[in-house]
Amino acid sequence: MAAMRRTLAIALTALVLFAGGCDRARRAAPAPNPASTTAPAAAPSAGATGVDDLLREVDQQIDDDARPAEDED
Amino acid sequence: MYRMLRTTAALLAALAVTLVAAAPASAAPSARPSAGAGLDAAKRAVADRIDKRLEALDRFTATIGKAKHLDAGHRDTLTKLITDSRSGLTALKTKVAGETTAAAVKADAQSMVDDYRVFMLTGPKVRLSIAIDTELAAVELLRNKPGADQAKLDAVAQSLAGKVDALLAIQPGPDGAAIRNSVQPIRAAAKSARTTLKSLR
Repeated sequence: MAAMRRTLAIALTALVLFAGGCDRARRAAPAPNPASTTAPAAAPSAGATGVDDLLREVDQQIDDDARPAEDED
Repeated sequence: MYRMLRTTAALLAALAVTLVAAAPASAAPSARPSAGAGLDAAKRAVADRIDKRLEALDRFTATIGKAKHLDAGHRDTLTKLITDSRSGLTALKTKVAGETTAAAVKADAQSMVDDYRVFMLTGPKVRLSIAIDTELAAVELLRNKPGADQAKLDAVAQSLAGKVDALLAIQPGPDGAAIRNSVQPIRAAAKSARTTLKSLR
């Protein structure tokens, strides 16, 4: 009887530990994000970002050029 | 009583000495011959204008240093232009300091403008060269974009071809209007290309 109770206790402990581990693993796993499926299309491509950077540099130079100089000559 | 009088006299004497010592500093300009004062003022004014140009050249050097897409040949040409301008203007400033006539100072001031054209020409050379070379880099980047309008990109590249070389070939001189007229179409091409590239990105 005592042996059976000890076996039962060990089994319950093992079950609790096993269930806790499964739950932690489930929480750690990234939940499927609906947005992630569309993210690559929505994010700007590397090329577009590069062009934007270049055009920002162009803007800066042309805007600076439009500013009145310290001397007209 | 005697002591008080002596103290008062000492204070008055100290005040008089202070006033006499201070007087020459404030009276100095009017005490000088007016022609000499005028010459000094003219020399100072020209030196200040040269300093403004030297400061602008330093800013241009910094701008060139930060430009990531400036063609190497254009960078070399601009760097040499700025180095030569800086040494020429520095020598001119020394010359101005040693001038003894108003006519010579006036000639130096004219040289400062006509021989360098720092604001009218060197500034646009730096800014528009960087802008145009960067636009050409953007054209190449946009060519890789799926569905890119290659014909429009060709037209932009064509509109910019040779523009920086033409800009860098413009020489300073006494005819300011001619310099402006030479720079203007290049500026217009850079602006037009920017508009088209923004529509294609």
